[in-house]
Amino acid sequence: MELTINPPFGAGGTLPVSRAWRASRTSRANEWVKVNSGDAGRKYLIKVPRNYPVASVQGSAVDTATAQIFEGLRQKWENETAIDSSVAKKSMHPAYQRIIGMGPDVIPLILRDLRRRRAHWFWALNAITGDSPADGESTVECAIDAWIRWGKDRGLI
Amino acid sequence: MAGLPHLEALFPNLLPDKYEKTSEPDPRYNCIAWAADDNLRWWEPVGMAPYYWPPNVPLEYTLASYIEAFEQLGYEKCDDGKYTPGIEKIAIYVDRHGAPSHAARQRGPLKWTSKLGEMEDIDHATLDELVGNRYGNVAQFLRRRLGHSSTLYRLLTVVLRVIQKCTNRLFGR
Repeated sequence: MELTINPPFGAGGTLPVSRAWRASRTSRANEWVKVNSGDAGRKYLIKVPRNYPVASVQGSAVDTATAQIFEGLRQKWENETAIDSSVAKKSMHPAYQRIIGMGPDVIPLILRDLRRRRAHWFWALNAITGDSPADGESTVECAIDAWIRWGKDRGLI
Repeated sequence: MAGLPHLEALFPNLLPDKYEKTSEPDPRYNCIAWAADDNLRWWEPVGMAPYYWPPNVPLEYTLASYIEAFEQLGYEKCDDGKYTPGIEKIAIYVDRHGAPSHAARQRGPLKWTSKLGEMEDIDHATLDELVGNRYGNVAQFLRRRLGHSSTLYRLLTVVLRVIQKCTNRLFGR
């Protein structure tokens, strides 16, 4: 899947979606996405429709290397934060931050882990996708259900 | 009683014959919720769903904010954790930066209950058993009379739990 860069946001052309990651969110309607071209370290900041990176990984298989890296980071995060009672503290753990930095490719892995272990992935999912299907939910259980439904709707789980 | 080596490794003061596991690990609620006698929600002033913080209490990781949260449940500050019949007490721990890290609720003489993050609930004899690098030290005790607003709160919690189960069954979750 390719992410199209349209002038005036970039130089034009397409880039593999795996090289795209969300930089920050400016509004609920649109997101700013930083795209690394991979050639000479050139980066573009483009505005794309909301959920574009998520939709782009729809139905795609996660490669083994990504899954292995994710699993190593996940285990480290779980081992080192399981007794923390603060989600903010859990979410600032370096392994968790690295998982967020892996971008949309890990969304299917996060959703699978969310379904299996019921862990606190809401911060990461929100940061990567820019979406908030659990808004208004008041329990962890309901938030998990909301994200699983969100994933199923997009063929990610 | 069987010890929990993974907890004893994290809390060196936790001695096998001084504590007892009372629940399996559960990510749905944390120690603050458990101290507030709520095992349905995760209490934290993080300001995002699904995490709960009492209304009108500042969304701050400060001891003052945590005290205010418990004050809404009828607690007031007190000087110690000595057991007094008819009185329920809570101890709030803070880490080395002064940020609240844990809360334990008194269950009786020489009996406190704690939820350890997402992990097990335990009954422990003293507060010192959880003192250390992970949770720091006890910084504040709170007290309230048993049967205060807690009775109504507990009733509401049970009703909420029933509604949630019915909803889950209806929608096949």
